[in-house]
Amino acid sequence: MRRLLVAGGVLAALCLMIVLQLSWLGELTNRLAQLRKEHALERLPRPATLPVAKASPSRPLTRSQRLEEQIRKASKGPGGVPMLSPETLFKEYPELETTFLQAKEAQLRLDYAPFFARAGFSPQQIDRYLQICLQGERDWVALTNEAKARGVDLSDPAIKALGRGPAAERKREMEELLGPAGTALRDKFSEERPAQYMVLALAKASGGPSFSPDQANRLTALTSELGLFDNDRAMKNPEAFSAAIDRASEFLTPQQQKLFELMVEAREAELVRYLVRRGSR
Amino acid sequence: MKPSFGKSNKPHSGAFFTLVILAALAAGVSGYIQFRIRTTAASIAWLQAQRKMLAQVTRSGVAASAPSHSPVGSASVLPDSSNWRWIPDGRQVEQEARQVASALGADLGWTKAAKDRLGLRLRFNQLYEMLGLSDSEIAAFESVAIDEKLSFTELLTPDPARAEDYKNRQAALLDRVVQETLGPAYVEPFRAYLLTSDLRAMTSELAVYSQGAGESIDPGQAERLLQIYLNHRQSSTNVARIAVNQIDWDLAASSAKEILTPTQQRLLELIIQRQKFDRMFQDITGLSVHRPIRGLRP
Repeated sequence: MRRLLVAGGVLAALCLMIVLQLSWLGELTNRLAQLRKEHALERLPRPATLPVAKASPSRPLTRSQRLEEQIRKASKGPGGVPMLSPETLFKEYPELETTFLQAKEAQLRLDYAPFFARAGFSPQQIDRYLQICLQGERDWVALTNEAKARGVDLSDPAIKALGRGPAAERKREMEELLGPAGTALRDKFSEERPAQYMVLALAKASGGPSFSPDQANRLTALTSELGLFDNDRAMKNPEAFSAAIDRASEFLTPQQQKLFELMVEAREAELVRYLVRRGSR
Repeated sequence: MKPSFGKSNKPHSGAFFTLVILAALAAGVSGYIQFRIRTTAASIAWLQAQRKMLAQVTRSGVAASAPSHSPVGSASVLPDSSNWRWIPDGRQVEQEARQVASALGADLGWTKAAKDRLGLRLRFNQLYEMLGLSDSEIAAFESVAIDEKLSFTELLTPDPARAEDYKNRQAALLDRVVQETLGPAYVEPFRAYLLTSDLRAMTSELAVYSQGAGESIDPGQAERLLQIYLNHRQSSTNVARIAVNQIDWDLAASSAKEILTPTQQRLLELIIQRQKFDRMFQDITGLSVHRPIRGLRP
């Protein structure tokens, strides 16, 4: 009986201690949250701490009459401002074409790095792959300029016919490089590109790689499987959006999940706009 | 007498063992709470030290040598929106939605709101986390921002005065929305964050690609990289948001070598290469590129 009383007493004392500790911890947690908030406000970069800017090296803008004309004739985008296609300027500004192709190559190297790794490509094979892709860009530029010279657009049958030969040649070269297995791997990778961009955007919104490689792979696979970024597939399966949210909640943190849900909602909205636009035609 | 396992023939022994087990559990819980108290206290001490250091740095006059900046200025493109073929420009969506809605008598307002909410979240999510904003605070800010048509879309106009006027109005609108929904204390942090948000997006992009290459960038490296970008800012124009095209990327890449691994350097160079095209296009035409360097031709 005495042992029972002692044990009971010890338990009661421990319970009391836990209550006191919890209260203390609560206070400390509140204080920490407050401090974090204040610290976050303080440590944000202030405009006043920026280094003194160097003198602007930007070239004074002197546009040729031809360019002015092109800008004037360009199709108008949001706010009625001109949307000028870079391709239409390459003839007059060859250095722009060179920089464009270099930029395109750089982006392909960034985007397709996982594919090159999965395919086990050597540096020579990567270079060859990019060479074929960039030839496609050059062919596109040539076709665009040809269409412009003829005063037609790219859907013109004669322009389409002109493009068929080079396209078939590139396809043959690519198949030769990749083989059937590599082609299948590349097709699957290409299919996943929109989902990969989504993961990239979500990660960037969190300031960096907020997803583990496993989470990123699962999210990419999930959205590709459900066809969220494919208008035709998504409109045949409207349940895909809620299914994506449900299934992603199994492996995303609550913070990641919130961002993903906004992304899915925006994609759903985009699909609705697409359907309405299509229906209105 | 055979020993009995699991049972005791003494009176109250069952209750006693229960109490002992409960006491042991309570001791464990108490120990864990004690541990949390210590770590929380340590975090508080660390934060207080950081704040003290920051206050000393600020007092030392580092800030005083910098130029003054207009509280309002450039608005912008969402850092990511240009990469999304399915998220068209804000005004374009609005215009299209209006046309189609009027043709069909449909209400497409929610679709515009969904797109705008995502745009705001992609731009400010990191700041929300840094400021520790609650879900209700975020919802209040975003809701008013959407109602007020706060936009960070860049006006692709060859008329610099018109573009500047648009940017100034949007930056002033952001100030007002933040003040109304979150309070005056948050105006300055939002302004400061907006100033470098495009450069931060580039740093984040490098961090994501670096993780893919197996050489992650830590937060300290990211902050130093941002400072390097700022050190190589070329334009002295007072702006609300530093445009990526205002950075001398060759010099920035050269300085970044000190803090990046060779693989990370290579990735940064690839990202910069893309930027050089945007810059050249802008120099030639006075316009921003409206189509991102993405994907392949059919």
